[in-house]
Amino acid sequence: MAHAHYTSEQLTERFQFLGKYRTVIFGLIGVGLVLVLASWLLTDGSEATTHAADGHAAIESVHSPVQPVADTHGEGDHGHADHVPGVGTRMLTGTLISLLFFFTISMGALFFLAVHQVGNAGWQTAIRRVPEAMSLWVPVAGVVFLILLFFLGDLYEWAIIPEGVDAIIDKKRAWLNEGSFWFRTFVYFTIWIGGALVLRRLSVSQDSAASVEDGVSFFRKSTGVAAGFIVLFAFSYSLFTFDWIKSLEPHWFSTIFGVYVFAGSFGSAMFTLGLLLTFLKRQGYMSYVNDSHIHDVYKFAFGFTVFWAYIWVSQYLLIWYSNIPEEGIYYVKRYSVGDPAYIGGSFNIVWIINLLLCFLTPFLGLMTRNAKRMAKVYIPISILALTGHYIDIFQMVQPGALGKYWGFGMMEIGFFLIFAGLFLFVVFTALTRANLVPQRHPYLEESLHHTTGDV
Amino acid sequence: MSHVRSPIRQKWVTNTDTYGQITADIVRPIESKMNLTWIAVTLLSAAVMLFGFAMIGWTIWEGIGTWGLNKTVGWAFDITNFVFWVGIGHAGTLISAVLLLFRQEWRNSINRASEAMTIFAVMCAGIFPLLHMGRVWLGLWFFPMPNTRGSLWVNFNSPLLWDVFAISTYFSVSLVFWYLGMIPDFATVRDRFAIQGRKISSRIYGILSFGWEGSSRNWSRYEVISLILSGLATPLVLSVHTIVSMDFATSVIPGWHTTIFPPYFVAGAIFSGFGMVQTLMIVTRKVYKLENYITLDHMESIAKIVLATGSLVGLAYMTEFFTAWYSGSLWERYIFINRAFGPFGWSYWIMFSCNVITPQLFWFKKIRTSMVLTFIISIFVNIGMWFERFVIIVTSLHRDFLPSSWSMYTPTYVEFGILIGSFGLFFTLFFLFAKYAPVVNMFEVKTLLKHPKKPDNLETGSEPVTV
Repeated sequence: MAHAHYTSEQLTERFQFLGKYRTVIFGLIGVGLVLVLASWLLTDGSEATTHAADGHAAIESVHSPVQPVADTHGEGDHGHADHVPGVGTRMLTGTLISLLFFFTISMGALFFLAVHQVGNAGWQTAIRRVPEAMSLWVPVAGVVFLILLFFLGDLYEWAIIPEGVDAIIDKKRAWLNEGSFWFRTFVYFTIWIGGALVLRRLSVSQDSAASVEDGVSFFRKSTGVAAGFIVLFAFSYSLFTFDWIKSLEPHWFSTIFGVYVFAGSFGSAMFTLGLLLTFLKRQGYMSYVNDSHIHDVYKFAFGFTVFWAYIWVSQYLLIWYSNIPEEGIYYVKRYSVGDPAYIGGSFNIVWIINLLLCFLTPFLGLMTRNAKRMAKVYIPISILALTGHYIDIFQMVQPGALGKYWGFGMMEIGFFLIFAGLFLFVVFTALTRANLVPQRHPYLEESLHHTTGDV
Repeated sequence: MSHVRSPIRQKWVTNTDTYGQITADIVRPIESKMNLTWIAVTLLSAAVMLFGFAMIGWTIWEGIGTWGLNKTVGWAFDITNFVFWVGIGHAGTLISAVLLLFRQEWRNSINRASEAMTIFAVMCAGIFPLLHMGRVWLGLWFFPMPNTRGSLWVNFNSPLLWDVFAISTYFSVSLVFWYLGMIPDFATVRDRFAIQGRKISSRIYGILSFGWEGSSRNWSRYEVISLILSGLATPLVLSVHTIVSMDFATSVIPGWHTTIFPPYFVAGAIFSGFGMVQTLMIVTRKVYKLENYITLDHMESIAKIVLATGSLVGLAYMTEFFTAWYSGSLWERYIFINRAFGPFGWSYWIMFSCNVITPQLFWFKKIRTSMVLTFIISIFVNIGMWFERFVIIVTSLHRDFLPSSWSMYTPTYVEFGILIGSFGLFFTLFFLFAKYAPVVNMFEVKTLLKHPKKPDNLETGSEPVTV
C-alpha cells in the first residue's frame, strides 16, 4: 500500500514534444486552414446570389459606408439592418469565437494558479505546471486580439455608425470609441501577460532553489504577486468582457456579464485541465498524479458548472421577470422562434443546446463521486461541456456580429481547428520548458500524498 | 487531505498538549458559577430586547403608521433591518458548509459560534417582514394553505413568497446542522457533570445530547448526516441572499433592477457575516481565554475573507455605477448620481467608505494581527453593511418617476427602537448560548491537536491512477 515514494526520475521528468504530437497539431492547423479557405471561396459565390436575391441590400451595400453591420438592436431604425455581412465579417467572427474559447480557458487557468497560490492550497502543487502551461496561451491570444483591433469596424457596429445616427450609442461614445478601446485592450493584456509571465517565472525559478527552505521565498513572492493580480484581474476581466463581447450589441447592458463569462472560463479551464492531465498520464507522465487530484479538478468543474448555471439564471430570470425592452431584446433575439424581425432561423436551438451542454450534462454526469474519478465518464462529459462552452461563446458573439445572417459551418470549424492546434502547440511547448512537477515547493510533499479518502 | 503537513502551515491549536486540556478550557464557562459581568450584560441585552418588544407591541397596537414610511418610500428601516440580519447569518453557513468542502481546518474552532450567530440573526430578521404586514396575526397567510376563501392562494410569482420558503428552509437546515454538531459536545458536558456529581445538570445535558454514547455506530451516523447537511447547506449559502436580492431586482425600479444583484448580495452577506464573526470572536476568545483555539492565525484568515468579500462588493458598486452610465438610460443614470450626491448622499459615502475602503487596511499583516484595530474595522463593516441596504432601498425609492411624488424619509423612534431591540434579542440569545453551550466545537478542534504522520504501513489512500 505504501506509495508516494517516487524516484527522482519521476519527479524530474519533462514532457517530450514528440513528432507524432506535432503531426497531429500541424494536421489540425492544416485542415483548419483548408476549411477556412474553402468556405471563403464558396461563400464568395453564394454571397453573390444572396445579393442578387436581395436587390435592396445589394444597392445599399454599394452606397453605404456602414456596410457590414448586422441587426444588433432589433429596431432596424438606421436602415442598415438588412445588410448581408461580408465574408470578412464572417471570418472575423469565427476568429473571435475560437480565440475567445481558448483565451477564456487560459484565463481560467491563470486565475486557478493565482487563487490557489493565495489560498495556500497544497493539493494542486503536483499538477500546477499544466495550468501554468495553459496560462502561457494568454500572450499569444494577446497578439491575435491585437490583430483584431485593426478590424473593429467589421465586428462592432459602434465603431462604424457615425455620430448622430444612433442616440443610444452616442451616449456611450466616451467609452465605446476606437482610441480608448485600443488603450484598454493594451492595459488588460499588460496586466494579464505580466501576471502570467511573472507567476510562471517565479514558479520555474523555484525549481533551482537549493532546498525547500530556500524555495519558500519564491513561494512567498508568488503569493504577493498572485494577491495583487487577483484584484487587477477582477476589474480588468470584467471590463474586457464588456468591451470585447457585450459591446457587440452596444445598446444592451447587464451588470453581471463579467461574472457570467468568468464562471464559464473557470469551469472550462477545469475541464481542459482534466483532459490534459489524463492525456499526460496516458502518455506515461505524471505518475504521481492520482485519482484524488483528478477528483478535485472535477469537483471544481462540477462546482463551476453549477455556478455558471446560477449566474445564467440570475441574468436571465431578472431580465425576463422585469421585462424591460432594452434588456429583454437580448433574449428575444436568441429564442424567438424564427422571428424574421430579429435573428431569423432557429437560433433558439443553439440557445437551448447551450444550456443542456453547459449545465445539465456536466451537472448530471459529474454528480457522483466515482464519475469525477473515472476517465470513461469524465472524458466524454468534459468534451460535451467544452462543446457547450464553445456554443456559449458562439451565442454571445454571433447574434451581435452577424445578426440574422448567423451561421455555423466549415468557416467556424476551420477557425476552431486552427486555434486548437495553436493552443496545443503553445501548451505542449510550455510543458517541455520545465519539470512537470515543481521542485522545492513547500507543499509538494502534501500534494504527493494527496488523498480525498478511499473509494 | 493529506497525511503530510507542510512545515510552513500554521498550527491551529497552540500551547495545548492533551485532549483533556481542550475539554477543560472550553467547558469551563459552563461549569463555573455565573459571574456578575455575564449577568450584567445579559440583563442589559434583555432590557434592550424588551424595549424593542415594547416598540413592536406599539407598532402592532397602533399600526405601521407609527413608522416614518410614506407612499413614496414604502420600504425603509424594516426591510433594511431584515436584509441586514439575513446577511449576517451567511457567514455561519459559509463556515460550516463551504469551508468544509474547501478543507479549511481553521473553520473547526469558529464554526459553532458562527452557526449560533446565524440562527440568532435569522430569528432577528424574521421579525421585520412579519411586522411589515401590519396585521401580524395574519402571518400564517404567508404559507400556501388550503383555505375557505375560495381559491385564494399566495402569489407564487412573487419573490417575497420565495423569500418565505428560502428563509424558512435556511433556518431549519441551519438549526439542525448547528444542533447536531453540539450533540457530541453536550454528551461530553453531561459526562463531566456526572463525574462531578451534579446530577440535575448532568440529566439536562443528557437530554440535550439525545443519549449520545460515542459508539462507533453513533459516530458513523453522525458523519453521514453531517455530510448530507453540509451538502444541503452549500447551495443555501447562495440561494438565500439570491432570493433576497430578487425582492428588489425583479422590479423595474432603477437602482433595484440590475442583474448583478444575486451574486453581489451573496458577497455582501458573507462580508457582513464575517464582520460580525470578527466582532463576536474577538470578544469571546478574550473573555473566555480561548486564544489557544481561536488563534491570531484564525483572526487573520477571517480578516482575509473580509478583505476579499469587501473588495468584491466594491467591484459590484463600481460595476453598477459604470453600467448605469453605460446603459444610456436617463433614469438609471439619474438614480445613481442621486444616490451618491443627492439628499441621501451621506449614507452612500458611509456605505462606500465602511465597506470598500476600510477593509483595504487588512492588506497589512500588522492590522490583521492587531485585535484592537480589527475590532474597530469590524464595527465599521457592520455599520457599512447596514447602510448598504438603507442606500439601496431608500435612495432608489425616494425620487419617484414623477417629481410630484418625490419625498424624503425620516425614521421614527419606534423604528429605531425595533432596530435596537433586535440587537438586544441577538445578544441576549448569544450570551445565553455562550453560557450554556460549548462555544467552540470541542471534538472537531481535537482533530487538529496532532497531525501525526502515520507509519507507511498504516497509510491508506489513493493509488496512482491508471487512466
